Amino acid sequence: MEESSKGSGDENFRTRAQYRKKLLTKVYHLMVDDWPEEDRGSVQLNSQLVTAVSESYFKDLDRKKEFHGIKYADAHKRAGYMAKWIMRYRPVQITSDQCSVRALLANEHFAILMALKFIKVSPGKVSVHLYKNLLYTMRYRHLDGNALALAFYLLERAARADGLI
Amino acid sequence: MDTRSHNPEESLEALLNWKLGNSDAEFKDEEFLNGIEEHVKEGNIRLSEVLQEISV
Repeated sequence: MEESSKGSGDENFRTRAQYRKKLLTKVYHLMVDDWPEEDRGSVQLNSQLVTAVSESYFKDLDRKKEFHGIKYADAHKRAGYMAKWIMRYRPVQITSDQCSVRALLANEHFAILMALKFIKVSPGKVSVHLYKNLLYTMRYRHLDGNALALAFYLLERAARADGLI
Repeated sequence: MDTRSHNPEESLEALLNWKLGNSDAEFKDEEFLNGIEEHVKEGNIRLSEVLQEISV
């Protein structure tokens, strides 16, 4: 599904949001299916909140694209804005009051997985130290979409660096 | 140092029309999903490694 705002109306917007919701849902299931059973059982994806993430993401990004006269958003903007809205709505809900740190960090991890996929950076290329910092940033720093987009832009450039970045 | 004289209107226009030119291609679901299983698996490995470091 394209991300163009061409011909955007309510219907176009809803369609794009529904497709993005499907992507989010797929990545979530891949993420937790690989987890130990007890962790998987402590979390649940809230469909209403995923819709909110998806719709807010497009509203936010469409507004930015219109202001700057951009046809397609850069990968790092998609990454930053998606991470922002996942962290705002926290669609992965905790269903247990005795869960692990893995489950407690589910939204942060989910946001990073999505963002890294947008900028085509494999998590295997990110050091444990940097991954830990990303998790911490998502958890405790209330950054806006632009700040996160800049962070992911730098990460994208660094991952492809062969000389100057 | 640049000592040329500048037309203020042109300068302003240049500033307002300044674009980074980073614009990406159209987003396609199938491209995003290409290799997604491997991507998520690697991410989960990183998360496990971080959890080992921060466990008390």
